[in-house]
Amino acid sequence: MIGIQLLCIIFACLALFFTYIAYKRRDFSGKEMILWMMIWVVFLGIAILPETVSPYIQKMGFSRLMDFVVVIAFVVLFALLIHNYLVVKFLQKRIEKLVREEALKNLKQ
Amino acid sequence: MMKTALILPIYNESKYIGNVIQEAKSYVDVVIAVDDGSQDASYEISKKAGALALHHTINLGKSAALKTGVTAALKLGIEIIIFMDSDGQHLPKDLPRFIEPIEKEGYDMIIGARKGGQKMPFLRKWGNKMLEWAAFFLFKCAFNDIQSGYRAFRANVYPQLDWKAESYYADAEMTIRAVKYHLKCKQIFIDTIYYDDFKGMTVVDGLNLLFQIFIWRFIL
Repeated sequence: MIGIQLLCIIFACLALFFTYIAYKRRDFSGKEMILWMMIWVVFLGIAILPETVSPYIQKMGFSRLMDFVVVIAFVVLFALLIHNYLVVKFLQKRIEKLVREEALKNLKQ
Repeated sequence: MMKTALILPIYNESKYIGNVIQEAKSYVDVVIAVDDGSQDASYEISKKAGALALHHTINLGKSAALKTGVTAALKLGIEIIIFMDSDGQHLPKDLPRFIEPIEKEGYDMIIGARKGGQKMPFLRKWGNKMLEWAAFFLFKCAFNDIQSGYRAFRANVYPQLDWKAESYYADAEMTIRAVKYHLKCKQIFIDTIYYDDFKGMTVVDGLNLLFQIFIWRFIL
C-alpha cells in the first residue's frame, strides 16, 4: 500500500465519522446521511482497491486512475464554487429583504 | 402641486446630514433619510433634523438604501421621488429645478449632470467620460453623467426603473433603463462640491461599472 492510499483511507474514515456526527446532531437528514455515506464508502473502496476501477477508467480515455481523480476533483470544485455562489446570493437577498422590512416596520401609511 | 419626497441614502454622514436635511426640508414635502447601518450618529441627527428616518441594522449598500426609501415613499403616496447624495456634494437649492420639469413639462425623469469643471477630481472626470462613451455607443444614451446620484423621477415609472444592480451602480442602471424604456428624460447641469476625495466610487468601481454596462447590453 502506498502513502497516498493510506492518506485517502484515513481521510475517508474521518469523513464517514463526521457524516455520522452531523446526522446525530441533526445537521443532516437521513437521506443526506445516506448519500454522503455512499460517496465516502465508494471513495474508501477505490482507495483500498484502485485496480478494480482501472478497466472502466481506461474505457473513459484515462490512462491512469490519478488523471481521472484530478479531473473529477476539478469538476467537483467547480460545482461547489457555483453552488456556494448561488447560496451566498440567495442569503444576501434574504438578509436584504429582512433588513429592509425591519427598517419599514414602523412606517405609518 | 404633486407630492414630493427627497430620499437620502446615508452611511456615516453625521458631519453633513443635519445641514442637508435642514436646507432641503423647505423644497419638498417629505425628506426620507435611510441610514444604511452607519456607525456614527447619522440616524439620530437625521431624526432630529426633521427627516422621516429609516434605519438598516446592517450596511446593505446604496442601491438597497434607495430601494427602502422608494418603498417608503410609495407607501406615503408620493408622486415625485428625488435622490440626492447625503455627503453635501449636491445642493438642496437645486431641488426646484428637478421638480418643475416633471410637474410642468411632463418629464418622467430628470438627471442632474455634474458640470465636471476644475472642481471634479481628475480620475473621476475621465472615468465619467469613459462610462459616458460606453453608454452612448451601447445604448445611444446621450447623457453626460449617467451615474449621477442627484436625480428625480415620477413615482409611477418606478416599475420600469426598478434596478437590480448593487451599490453605486444603481444610478447608472436607472439611466440605462430610462433610455431603454423610452422615458421622457431631461438633463440639467448642477454644481457639486467635493468635500472628500476618498468617498464614493473608486477606480475599481468605475471599471466594474464599465463591465456592467457591457453586460446590461445583453441582459436588460
